[in-house]
Amino acid sequence: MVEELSEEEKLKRFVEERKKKMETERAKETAMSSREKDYVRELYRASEKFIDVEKGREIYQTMREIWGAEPLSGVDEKMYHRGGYKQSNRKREFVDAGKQVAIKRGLPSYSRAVGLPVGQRMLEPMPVGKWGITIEQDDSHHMNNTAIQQLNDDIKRTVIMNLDLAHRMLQVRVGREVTPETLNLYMETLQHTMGAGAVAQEHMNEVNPYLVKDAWAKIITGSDEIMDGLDPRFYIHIDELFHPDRAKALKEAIGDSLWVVFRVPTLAVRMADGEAAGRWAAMQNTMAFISAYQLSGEHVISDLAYAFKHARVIHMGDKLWTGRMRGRNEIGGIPDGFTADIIQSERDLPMIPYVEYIEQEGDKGASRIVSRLNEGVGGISAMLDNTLWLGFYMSGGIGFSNTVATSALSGGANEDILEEFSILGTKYLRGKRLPTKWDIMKVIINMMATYVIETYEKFPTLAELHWGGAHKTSIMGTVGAGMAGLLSGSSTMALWAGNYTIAYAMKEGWLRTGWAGQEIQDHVGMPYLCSFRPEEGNLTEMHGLNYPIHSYSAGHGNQRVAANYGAMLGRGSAWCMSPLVKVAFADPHLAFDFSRPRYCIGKAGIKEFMPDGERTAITPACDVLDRGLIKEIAKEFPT
Amino acid sequence: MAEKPKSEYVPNIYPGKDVVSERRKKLWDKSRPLLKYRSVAEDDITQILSHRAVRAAYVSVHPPLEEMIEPYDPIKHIVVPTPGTRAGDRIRFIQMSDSFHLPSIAPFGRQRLYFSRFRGMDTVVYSGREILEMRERDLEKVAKMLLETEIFNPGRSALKGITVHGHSLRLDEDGLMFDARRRYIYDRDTGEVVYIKDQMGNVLDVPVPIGPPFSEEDCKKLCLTYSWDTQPYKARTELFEVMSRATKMRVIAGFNPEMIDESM
Amino acid sequence: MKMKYEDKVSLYNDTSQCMTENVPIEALSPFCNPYMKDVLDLFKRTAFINLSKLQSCLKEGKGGWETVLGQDECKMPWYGRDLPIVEHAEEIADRIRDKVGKFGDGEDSVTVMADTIVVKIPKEVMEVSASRDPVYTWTMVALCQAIAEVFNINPNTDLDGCNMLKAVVFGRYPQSITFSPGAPVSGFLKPSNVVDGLGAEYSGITVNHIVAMVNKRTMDGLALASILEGAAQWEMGNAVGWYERYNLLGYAYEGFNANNLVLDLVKENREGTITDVVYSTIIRAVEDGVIKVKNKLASGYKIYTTNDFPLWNAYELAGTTAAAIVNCGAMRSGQAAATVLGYINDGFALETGGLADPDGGRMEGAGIGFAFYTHSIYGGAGPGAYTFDHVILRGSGFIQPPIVAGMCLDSGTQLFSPEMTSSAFFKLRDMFPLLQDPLKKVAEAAEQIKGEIKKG
Repeated sequence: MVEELSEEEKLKRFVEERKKKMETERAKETAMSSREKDYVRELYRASEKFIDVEKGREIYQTMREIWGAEPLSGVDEKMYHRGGYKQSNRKREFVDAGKQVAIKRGLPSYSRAVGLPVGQRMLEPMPVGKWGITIEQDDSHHMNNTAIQQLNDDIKRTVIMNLDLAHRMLQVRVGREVTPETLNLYMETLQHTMGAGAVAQEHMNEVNPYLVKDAWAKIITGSDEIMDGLDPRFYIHIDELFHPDRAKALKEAIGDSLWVVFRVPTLAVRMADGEAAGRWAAMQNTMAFISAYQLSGEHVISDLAYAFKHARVIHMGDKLWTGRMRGRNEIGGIPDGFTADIIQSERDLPMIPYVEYIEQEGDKGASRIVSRLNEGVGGISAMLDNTLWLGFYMSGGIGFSNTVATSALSGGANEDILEEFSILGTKYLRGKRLPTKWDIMKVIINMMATYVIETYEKFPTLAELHWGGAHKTSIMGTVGAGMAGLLSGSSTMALWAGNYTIAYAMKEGWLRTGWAGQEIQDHVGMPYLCSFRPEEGNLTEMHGLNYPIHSYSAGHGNQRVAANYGAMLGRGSAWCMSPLVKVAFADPHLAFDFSRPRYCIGKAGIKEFMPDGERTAITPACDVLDRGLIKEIAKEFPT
Repeated sequence: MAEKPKSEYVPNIYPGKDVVSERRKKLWDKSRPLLKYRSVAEDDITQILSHRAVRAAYVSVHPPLEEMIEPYDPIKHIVVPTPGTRAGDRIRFIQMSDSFHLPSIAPFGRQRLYFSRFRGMDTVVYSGREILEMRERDLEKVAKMLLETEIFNPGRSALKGITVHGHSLRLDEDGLMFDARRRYIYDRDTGEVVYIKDQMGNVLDVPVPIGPPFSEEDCKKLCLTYSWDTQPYKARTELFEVMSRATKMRVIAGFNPEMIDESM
Repeated sequence: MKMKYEDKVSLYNDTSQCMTENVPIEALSPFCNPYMKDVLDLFKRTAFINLSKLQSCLKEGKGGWETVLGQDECKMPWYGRDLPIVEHAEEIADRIRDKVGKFGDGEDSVTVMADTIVVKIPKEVMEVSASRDPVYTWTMVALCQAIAEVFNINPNTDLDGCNMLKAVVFGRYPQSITFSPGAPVSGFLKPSNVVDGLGAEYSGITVNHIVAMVNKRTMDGLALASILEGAAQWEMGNAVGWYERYNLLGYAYEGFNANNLVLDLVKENREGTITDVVYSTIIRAVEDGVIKVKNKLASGYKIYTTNDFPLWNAYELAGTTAAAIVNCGAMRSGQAAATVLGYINDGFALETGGLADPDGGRMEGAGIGFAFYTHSIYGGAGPGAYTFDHVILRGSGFIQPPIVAGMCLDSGTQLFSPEMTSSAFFKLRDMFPLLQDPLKKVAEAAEQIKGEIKKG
């Protein structure tokens, strides 16, 4: 006969049995073999040691600064409890502004009442490079950041033309001589015409000089003799702007040719597009020529127009394919080699290969090179590729892509790690460049990739900073390409390494890369690398955002430009693709400083960067919310 | 094909029988000489054109034609080159501007005159100017005709190589066409228009008097354009008939060229 | 072959010798005339590989330039490779033949001429392809592979060399949508993806290139230009149906010296002016019964009429061409063609009491545009640098030949002369005897087939 237990007794017996079982199991656990105990002690000792080493790294300090918490800790005690959007000054400002706008216009505007409640996680401050400037994430949105805007504008509005043909035309067809005096007069006239000043025709519409104070032109030449004869205001002083070795190499490459770099007004390219820059420059250049050399509206003028618009002119970007059609001088058409030349962060450094430089200069040199690489690649190519082109031109208003670019701004993370690796290199490389052989390069790249990967794992705060797979992928690719470029001097080798780092090293380690399509070009990049087929292969300098496989997957602009720029530093040359583009962006008059791009962007983040092209000279003084006709009086039609 | 004597063919030149139409027919018919109103010295013309110093040698862009070795082309031996071409002169220009107000010649009027009277020339027609480019010595020769004859009213036509603005402005206090570069003035003592600058606006070493401006009466008599108070345009029935036919023909020809027949 | 039209012409050469009599105008159509077909075939499927250029660019690390002249703003000497490419021309050609030529049916598709390899993409390939792009794509890929094979360049032996070679051959493509100007691989015509509008492919050719190919012989220039532009007009649909006879007659008289009209007008007015040519044209048209006086207005002004505008148009085109030759011949300058093309039209209209002027008025519009843009700050170029399909010229399909004639007559006044822009094209005449004496060959081919064109 089975005993019938009450419910209570059943429960009691169950609990007792469980307790007994737990005690047995606990006893088993504590009865570890001594061998096992030793092992655990070893691990504990190792982890103790590891913690000290990690705490000594720069990255530790940087993370601490950003998060105000233990960088190695995997837990955010205050998750969900940070006050939502209110933890961010910027977002609070936006909420206020959104309210004001909604009231004024009678239509809702920005409102945190819709969508998800942001700020459940920490909205961390962003240090920019090592410049000592900290901004908020929102400050790096291109529409909030005047420096990022000027970066785009300063490139779009640049056109470079050669004068030799025009001079020959003058001499051969018109019988006029070209002398330093005539050149100076022409250049002075050009400063006037570049701002749409009239020279030959009466009753022309002209433009308020305040609106076009950023319009000018300067001569680029490699000839000291020509420069000596010119008014010093009218040319770019290569000797003063570049390290002597670099200046010499650039001047030799450019030779006696006379080029002019034109800066079309920012306002003009904003009203029209990049394509308008070439036309503005050609037209205004022709007018300056006509005036300075006393020409009429005669047949020879069309030779000038042709020379300046077509025959020997360098645009910053090419036209794009029909599917993403745009004219010249837009970001999508800029070859990656030009982007690397636009970067100016290396100007003052001696022109010797990276491996020799770090051998000479030691740790400091190693840090310096890496920080310049990050400055340029993070400040310029990441912005162009992710923030402006793919994240804006090609997709619109969503604020995701620009956060990926911002991850390249945060010098703390990238520089810190790469610097360590670079310093490691000083000990092992002994001044010898690596050959362009994968079997040798893979050793270093694997080492470096795993090093970076482990850092992300050890520093959960770093993983949170680069919160998307997209961010990490972008950084991994840049680090792989940059390092391989520095070590080999070959942009092809560097691109290979960058592709490999993402498609294999990162992927197999974490079983995770970036957003669903991000690694496309890393997989395809390998069979494409040396292919002769029309839409594949080619020097990394010749790639860009119109190259089909790069055109639709983000986060790789910095990888490709790191390949080019790193290779330039790696082999110790003065330019990547064009010495003229390199010199053109050394122009100190530019509002955007192409040698300290992250500094500019940081300054703009704290509202201390004044861009060009402002319309204050023609807009009424009024409240920030006003628009259209200021006076509220509804005026009747006169008839 | 044997050369056809031109005298059998009487060209139309222009429809209508009014004063303006007759004037157009005269100007555009090379068999009818233009009246000489004044003389302008060759050196003065050289000065005003501003292409070379007075009495300086002509600049060449290639050797004289007879010294050149060119690939065989029979055509090059048929058409007779002008003197300037033969010498290898560079190509230079004269640019004339004509007032909107009762001009003795107007831009397309110039072009049609050039087409009928000049050989080896390149002209482009604007509203404020008409540019004529020729080999330099040929240019100087025709410049003489352009400045000395009845088609040049010093008050209402001008040499403006650059900054041509003013054809449509009111006249100044002396009845002269506006010139932003002040190339010419009215000498009240002599009653003549005097060029003090060349066509590019450079001050002349020696000013060039170019004759008195036409009187208002002469302006009306010699005007090449129709005007409400001289020869009203709307009354030009023949011209309007021709223009109307021309435009219809173009439309039909553009639509289906085979559609045109004798009845149209 | 059916003869649709009654029109027959005799064709004369530039010394006024009759080459063939009474050919139906269909014999001057690209669908019938065997010479025209051969020329178009040559233009369509031929690529040139300039091995000297390839060798020097590879040595200097030059690739991906944008400039038409100079071509030196992009240089990467550190990737340069000094390879004796010209010396290995035959070997390279063999390998290209292997990859490309085998599709041909016994046709010799790859030939070496000094430092140039000429590749004719096999007819079979062109037939299967939807475009004429293999001229570029096949040639360029085969070339890269051939050089890599001959000089043992691969990712293992020379990583950077692979890509420098690609950069030299392809320029920035596909980052840029086309290749560098003056790249080592070129064709007669522009790559199709930079041709504006449908069907304009044959007219993507530069005026100066034509001038160079005919070695500046004026009436050969007219002929070759007419073959190409005429073919483009067909392809664009401009010669279909109602325009068929109009186009055939237009090119016959303008381009192929039908009935010696152009040359007669030139000779009559060898010391004359443009207006003289207008008068001569009208006189001749009246004599030939093309136009006649319909009535006179009160002033005595004659109104002319015609039952055959396509033929009168052809006469006007002949007159325009003759006037361009007379004016440019007198000045020996190519720039003088524009003024004729822009303004002679009014002369015809006013002389005939309003008959439609050349090409129904299209010539005047396109001509004035040409005059303006060859003299202004607003763009354009000297006449020799224009392509036939330039937006400024494409308003009329008859404006191109007289522009070529003008540049043939130029004695050296232009900066952008054929010698500067088209030096390689002068050599093509020697490479391709087909290009020699096009006027004569068109006539001979017409003579050859005229018997086959029967009244239908």
